Amino acid sequence: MFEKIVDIMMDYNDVPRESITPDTRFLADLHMNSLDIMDMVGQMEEEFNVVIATEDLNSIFTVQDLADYLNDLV
Amino acid sequence: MNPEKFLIKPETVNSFTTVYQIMDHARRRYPHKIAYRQMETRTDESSVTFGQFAENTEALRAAMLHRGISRQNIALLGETSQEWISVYMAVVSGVAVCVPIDKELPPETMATQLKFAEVKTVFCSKGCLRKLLKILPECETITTVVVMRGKGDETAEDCETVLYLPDLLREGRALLEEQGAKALPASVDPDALCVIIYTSGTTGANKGVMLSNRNIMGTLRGCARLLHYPDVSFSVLPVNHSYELHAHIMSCMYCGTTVCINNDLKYLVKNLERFQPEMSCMVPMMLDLLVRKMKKQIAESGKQAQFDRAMLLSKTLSKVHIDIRRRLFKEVLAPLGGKLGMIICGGAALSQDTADFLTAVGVDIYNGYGITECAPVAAVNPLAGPRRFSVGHLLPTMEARIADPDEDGNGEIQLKGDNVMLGYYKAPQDTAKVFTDDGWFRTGDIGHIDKYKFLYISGRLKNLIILPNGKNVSPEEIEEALMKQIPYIKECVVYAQESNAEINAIVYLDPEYRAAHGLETPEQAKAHMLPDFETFNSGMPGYKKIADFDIADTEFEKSTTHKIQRFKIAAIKK
Repeated sequence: MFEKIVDIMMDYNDVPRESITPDTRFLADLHMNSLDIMDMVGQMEEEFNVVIATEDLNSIFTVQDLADYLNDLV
Repeated sequence: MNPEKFLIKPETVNSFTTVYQIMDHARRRYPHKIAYRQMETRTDESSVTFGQFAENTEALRAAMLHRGISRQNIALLGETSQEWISVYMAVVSGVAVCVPIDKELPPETMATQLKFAEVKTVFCSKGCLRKLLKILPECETITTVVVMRGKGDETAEDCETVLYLPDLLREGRALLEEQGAKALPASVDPDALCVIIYTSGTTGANKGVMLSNRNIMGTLRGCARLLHYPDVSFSVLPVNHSYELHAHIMSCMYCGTTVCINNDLKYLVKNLERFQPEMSCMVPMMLDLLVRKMKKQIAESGKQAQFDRAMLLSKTLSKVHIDIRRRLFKEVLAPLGGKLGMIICGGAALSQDTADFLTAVGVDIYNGYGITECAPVAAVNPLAGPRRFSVGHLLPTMEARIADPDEDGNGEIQLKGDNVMLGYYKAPQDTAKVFTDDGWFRTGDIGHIDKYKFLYISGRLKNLIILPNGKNVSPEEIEEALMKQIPYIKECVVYAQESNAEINAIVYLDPEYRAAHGLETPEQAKAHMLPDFETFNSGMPGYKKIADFDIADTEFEKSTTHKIQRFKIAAIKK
């Protein structure tokens, strides 16, 4: 799960892949803007065949948060 | 694209004074054409023709009148949908006063707006019902909730009266069958208040802008003289904003343009591919995303060299007025549906790189200038001849003057004409402040207008920094110069400390640049930027020099229309 998430995240960042850890934060560390995050979430939905509620994004800050959330859904 | 072919004769639209007439025009002229396409599930969509849309709206008008849901303030809360637009058209067409509410607002602001407008009825999509139910107990004036389309498990049973839109439609159709036109409002007063739109609050607290049908038609009539929308458009901005609602959706209705509705920002790119629109109205952040996607695709396809050659060829040919951009860049445009050729952009400053890239590959960008108080468009770049640094040609429905121009001709832009609002709701003092004694609306924006009526904006009066020596400094002007000279600044806000009137700045640097240069901490970033900052200052006149600057670690907070909320940033720093 973690690896697949990082695959998709790499489309939105030029940071080295190995620098992304479970604790990497989307806003504070990767400086993604709100629209990039929404677009990335759309890609995640397609990849994992799930629906991610927009309001749930308020409690997802790190890659691990997202992995846990998706694990619950899949 | 030959711009001349899109220019339309203004005579018809010039005789209209209400949006009802626009709907009636569309029903007669394009009865079987699809008016709206919207997603119902992740894969299925629905559509409605202009004829069906008008029929639904008439049924709603009849049912609302019959049930006494009239002569009151009615809130409209939900994502963009043909149902939302139909309710809006019904309410503003002689039934009541519509109060569109931004669904992204925090519940407490939403409650404040509903209470301030003394709303009695709320039309709410199922998706927003949970949010509304939370604040319903404190909104004592609300007696009726009408549930519109969408998913959601909550019901509004706690409310005095709960109705469902399909039931109202059935009821209205039966009334029209029985009574014909007698079931409908007798007339629509073009000058009566029909909508209260809250401002986005970029420079302060939200105010309720009161508009009439004549105000809205000022925007539609003016835009019809300068623009013509092609066959299929794409709606992606919040429908409660007057830019999207009037300048896009209502104008499309007049032109018979099918509006394809994006159901979620998550699916923006996917839906562009699905709907294959020819145009859209967007904000700069969206254009930046599209450009990044296109550039990435070019790089991944291994065709960068081929693309660079095509760019060179396109630029050379454009000098001799040969436009083969869409043929040259067919593959690049494919992820955007392949047909996108025109984007009206507003809301914030667009980076010239983004605009230049899109124009080079065949997507023409038209800048506009609007303000909610002008319903909202005051100027837009015409299809026939856009000007690169202008925010557009003044709409033919407006007059403009520049108050107290400085030596460069820049002063406050003041406007008069059909578009200008009736006033702020329940705020006569605020209204008086924005009108001059001789009746001109003070926009609060600084700029000038050329002899061809093209408008140029240089800053915002409210943000003006007035120095002790009496010099006025527009922070936007310094911000633009700073970002131009130091390209790794992604966002910045220039402000003055009240206590000593020194100019300060807070900057957000491009994170990729920071990472590449190992600027992990704000201190490292500041030290790195200092020489560039000093070079910048050395080229500025004394009164425009920046005394000090801070590094922001995250992007600046923005309104739901993605504008930087500068008053919040400046307030924190003061």
